[in-house]
Amino acid sequence: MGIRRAYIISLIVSMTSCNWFDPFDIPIVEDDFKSVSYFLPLDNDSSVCFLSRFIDVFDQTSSEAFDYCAKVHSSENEIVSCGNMSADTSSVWVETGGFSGIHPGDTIYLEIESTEFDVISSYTIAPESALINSYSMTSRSYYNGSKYFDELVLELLDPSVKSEAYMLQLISHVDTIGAPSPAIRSMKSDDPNMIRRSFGDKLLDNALFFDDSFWQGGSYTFHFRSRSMVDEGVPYHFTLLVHSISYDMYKFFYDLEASDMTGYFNGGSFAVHSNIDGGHGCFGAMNSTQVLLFP
Amino acid sequence: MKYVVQIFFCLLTCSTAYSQSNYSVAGKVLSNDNEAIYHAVIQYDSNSAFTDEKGEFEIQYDGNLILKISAIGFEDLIDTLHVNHDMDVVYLLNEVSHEIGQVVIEEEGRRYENTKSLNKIETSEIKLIPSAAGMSDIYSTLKTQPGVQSNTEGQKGLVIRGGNYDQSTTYVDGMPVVGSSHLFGLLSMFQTDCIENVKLFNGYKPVKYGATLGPAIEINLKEEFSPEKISEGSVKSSFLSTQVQSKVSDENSFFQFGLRNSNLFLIQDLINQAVNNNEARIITPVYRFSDISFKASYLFNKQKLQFLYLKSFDGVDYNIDFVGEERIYLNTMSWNNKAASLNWSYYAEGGATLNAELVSNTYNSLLYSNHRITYFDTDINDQIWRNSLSEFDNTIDNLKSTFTVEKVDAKGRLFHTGVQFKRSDVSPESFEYWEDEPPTDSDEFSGNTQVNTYSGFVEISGDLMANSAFKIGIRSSLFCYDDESEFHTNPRVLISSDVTERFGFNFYSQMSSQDVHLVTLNSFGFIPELWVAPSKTKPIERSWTTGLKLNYTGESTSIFVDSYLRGMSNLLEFSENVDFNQNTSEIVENEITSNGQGAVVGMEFSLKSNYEKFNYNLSYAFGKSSRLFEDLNQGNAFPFAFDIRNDISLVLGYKINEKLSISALYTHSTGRMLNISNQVVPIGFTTPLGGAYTQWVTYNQPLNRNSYRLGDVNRIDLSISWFKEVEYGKYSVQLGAYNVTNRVNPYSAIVTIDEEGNQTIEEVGMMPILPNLTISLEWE
Repeated sequence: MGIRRAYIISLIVSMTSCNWFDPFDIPIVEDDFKSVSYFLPLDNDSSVCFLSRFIDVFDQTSSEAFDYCAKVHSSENEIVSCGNMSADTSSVWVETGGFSGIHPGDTIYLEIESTEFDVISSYTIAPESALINSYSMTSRSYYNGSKYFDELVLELLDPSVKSEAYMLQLISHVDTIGAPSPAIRSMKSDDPNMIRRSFGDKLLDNALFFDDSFWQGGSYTFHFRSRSMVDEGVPYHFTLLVHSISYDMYKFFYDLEASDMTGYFNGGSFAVHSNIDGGHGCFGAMNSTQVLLFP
Repeated sequence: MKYVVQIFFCLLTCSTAYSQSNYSVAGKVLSNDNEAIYHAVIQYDSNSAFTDEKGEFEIQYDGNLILKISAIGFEDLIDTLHVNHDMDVVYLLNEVSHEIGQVVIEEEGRRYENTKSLNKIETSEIKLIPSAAGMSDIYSTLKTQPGVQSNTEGQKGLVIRGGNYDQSTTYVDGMPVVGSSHLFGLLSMFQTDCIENVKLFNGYKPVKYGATLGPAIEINLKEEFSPEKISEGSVKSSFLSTQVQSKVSDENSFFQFGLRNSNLFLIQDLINQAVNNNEARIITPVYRFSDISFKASYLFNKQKLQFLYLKSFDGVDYNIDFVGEERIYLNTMSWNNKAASLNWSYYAEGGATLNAELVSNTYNSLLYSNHRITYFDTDINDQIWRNSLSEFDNTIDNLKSTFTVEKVDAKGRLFHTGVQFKRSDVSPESFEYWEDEPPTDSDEFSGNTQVNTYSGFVEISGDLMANSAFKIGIRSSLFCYDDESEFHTNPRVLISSDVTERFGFNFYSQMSSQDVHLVTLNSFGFIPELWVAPSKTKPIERSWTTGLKLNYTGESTSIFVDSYLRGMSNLLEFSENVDFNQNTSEIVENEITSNGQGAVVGMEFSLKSNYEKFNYNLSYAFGKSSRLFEDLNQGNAFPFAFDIRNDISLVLGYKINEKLSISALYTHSTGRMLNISNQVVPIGFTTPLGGAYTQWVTYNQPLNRNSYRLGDVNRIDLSISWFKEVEYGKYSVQLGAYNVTNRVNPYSAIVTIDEEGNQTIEEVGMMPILPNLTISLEWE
C-alpha cells in the first residue's frame, strides 16, 4: 500500500467526522441585560409595566439613566406610555382602560423602545375567563394543633380544550367600624396539584396557581385554607380573586418555584422561563373574577 | 453469563499444542558496556529462556518469532525475527537507574515499540516527579504530559483533551477500571511497585480499546518468570499511606500482591489548619483511601492463564461550619472499585497469539449532603432553619468477554482481530428532600439500566515504505438497549513517518462510541454526578479525533508538537432549570438535556532534555472545549466545564550524587468553568389591593452557561530522595511536600457573606500543603 493511498484513506476517515462547530464562537450575553415583568389585567383601567436591569450581585456599579416607551397593541388597539429609568428598576403606568375588544385567544403585543438599546418585544395570548361552578367557605373548621384555619372550596369548569392556567389570591376584610385595611392572605393546600407561589418570601403573600392538565375537559374542586386571623365573633369576609392567567405566566411562576432546594452548595443554577425577545422576564395577561366568601 | 464461561473454558480446553523447531536462534544479551547480562529473560510465545553467565541463549524455532527480552535493571526490548534458517543475534539492553522497574509512557506507539516509540518517559524521570504520596505515582506522571490536564484536583479521574473523566478509560492488564484515582485524582489506585509499564494512547487508540470516546491508558502490571524461585517485596510508609508489595515467581508461575492504606489522620490537624484561612467558616476535610491488588499468572503447554483482582476505596468528609450563623454543610463522598479478570492466552505455532478474557467490575460513586439552610415559612411569614438532604448514588456493573487473535504475517505486518461482548448495568439514584418532611414512598428507578454491546474489530499495522509505518483498524459495535439497537462502525488510522533520522510526524484519525454516559453539574459545591445507560432519548455518544504530531528526537532532547481536533455528538448535560427535588426517574427523564455536540481544538507541546546531572521536562497544552445544545444557553455554544485554556508543567531534576537526588514540579493551569448565576433579575409585582403599591423581588438567572471561571491553579511540589543498598536489599528515604506554598487552589465555589454583609462568591480548595516523609524497604 502506497503512502498516497494511506493518506486518502486517512482523509476519508477524517471526512466522516460529520459533526463540528466552531468552539471559539461563543456569544456572550452582555451584563447590561433588561428584564420585563408585565402582567396585564384585561379588565382593569390601568396596568403597570416593570422594566429593570440585571444586577451582578458581586459587582454592583451604577448605570446611566435613560428614557423608554412601552407600546401595547393588538389588532384593534394601540397604547403607548413612556417613562424613565434612573436606577436599576423602573415602572410605567399604561392606560389600558381603553384596551377593548380583546377576546380569549387574541394576541397582545408588547414593544419597549429606547435609544439606549434594541427593541424588546413580546406577545401573549389572552386567556379564557374562569368558569366558576361553585364555592364555599367554613370558618375556623380546620385545627392543626396550634392554629385555626378557615377552609375554602372552589369548583372550576374547564372552559376549553386548550391549556389554561389559573392563580388564586385571597383578600380578607374585617367588617367592623375602624377595622384595619383589607389585607392579602396566605393560602395553603394539601392538594399537590396546587402550587404555592412562595417566591418573594414575605415581600409577596403567596398565591396558589395551577394549570388544567389534571382536569382537562371536566371540572375540579379545589380545597385550600387560610389561617384565621380574626377573633371569634368578629364579622369578616374574603374576596377570592380567581385569575385566569396566560400560560407564559404559569410557566414563569412555575420556574420561580422550581429553583434548587438546597440552593447554594449542590447545584443552585436554574433558568426561568421567559417569553421576552431581547431581554428576560414575562409578559402575560389575566382575566380576573371576584368571589365574595362569607363565613 | 453461563455461555460466556462455557465458551471461555471450551477455548481453554480445546486448544491443541503442536510445534516444530527446525532452526536455531543463538543469541547474546549485553549491556551498553558490552558486558554479558546473566539471567536475562527471553520470552517468546508461552515459553521462556534465560541467558547463561556469558549472556548467551539458544532457541529452536521456525517462522515469525517475537522475542521479549528483559533483565532487572535494564529496559525491556522486543524484537521480531523471521526464522527460516539458523541465525545469530546480539541484543544490547539500556540500563535504567530506577529501582521500581520500567515505567514508560508512550503515545501512539507503533507495534514495535522498542524502536519507534514516541514521547517516551524514562523511569528515572518518573522518579523525579514529586508525588502527593511521597512515592512515585503514575497519575502524578501522567498529569505532567501535555493534554492530560493537571487542573483536576478534586476530580475522580483523568481529564484529557476536553472531555469529562468518563471519556478516558484506564485498562489494567486489559481490564477497564472506572474512576481509578485516590484523593480526588492526586494518586492512582495502582501501586507503582506493581506496575511493569504504562502507555497513554492520547491520539490513536488501538481497536481493542473502544468503550469510551476519549484516550486510553494502558497499565500493564508486572509479570516476570525466572528459572529460580524469586521472592521480592517492599514496604513503604509515609504520612499519606503505608503500602506493602510482594511478588513470588519461578519458571512457570508468578504471584503479586499489593496492599495500601491511607495515613492521613497523622496530619489531620495540619490539613485543618491549612485549609482554614477565613474566620467566617470552619472547613473540616477528612480523607481516607485504600486499595488491594492481586495478580497470578501460570504458564503451561504454550498457554498462559492469568487472574487479576483489584479493589479500591476512597472516602471524603468535607464539612463547612459558617461561624456566626446556623448554616452548616455536611458532605460525604466515596467511590469504590472492584474488578476481577480471568485471562487465557495461547501461543500458536508461527507467532499467532489467541487470547480470551472475562472481566467483571463494579464501580460505585456516592455524594451525600446534609445542609442546614434557611427556608421561608409562609405559615409564620418568616425565615426558619431547616436541613435539606440530598444524595447521588451510582453503581455500574460491567461484564465483558473478549476473544482476540494476533498474528504477524510473512511481510512483517501485524494482524489483530477479535470479538467482544459487554454488558453494563447502570443504577443511578438521587434524592433531595427536607429532613423534617421525608418522602412517604421509596423511589425505584424506572428508566433503562442496561446496555449490551456486541463488537468486532480488526487492525493491521506494518511498514508503508522504508521510513513510514501505518496502522489501520475498524471497530463495529451493535448496541442493544431499551428495545432499541444501534450499529456503529468506527474506522481509525495512524500513519507514522520518519522524515529524517531525528524528525518525524504522525497523522491519526479515528471515531469512537460510548455506551454509558456521565452527567455532571459544575455549579456551587461538590459535583453531583449521575451515570445513565442509553435510552430512546439518550442514544449512544460518538466522537471523532484527527491530529498531526511532529516530533524531534536528539541525543539528549526530544520535542513534539501535537495539534488535534475533536468532535462529539449525542452528549448529555443537566438542563438549565434542573430540579433535584424529584425522584431519579423524573430527573433522568426530564432534567437531562440530550443530543448535544462537543468541539475541541488543541495543541500540545513537550520538551524533554538533560544535561549532565540536570534534566527537565516542559509540557504545555492549549485547548478550547465547547458544547452546543439546542435547549441550553439559548441554543448558543458555551464553554465546557473543563475548558482549560493553558496548562503548563515543568519538572526539574538534579542528581546530586548516586544516592541523593532532588526534584521539583511546577504546575500552572487555567481555572475550570462553573455554571454560577451571579446575575439577579429584579421583577416588579403589583398587588390586587390596588393603588400604586408595587413590590420588587429578584431571582437568579444564568445569562451565559459555564461563564464563571475559577481562579488559576499554581502549585509547586518538592522532593529529595536518598537510598542505600544493603545486603538484603535497599532502603530509602524521601522527604518532600505537595503544594509547598500552601496555596489552596480553587476546586469549587460557595456563597458566603463578606464583612459588610454582602453576598459574595468564595472559592474553596481541597488540598493544602501535604508534607511527606517516606521510608521504604525493599528486599530480594
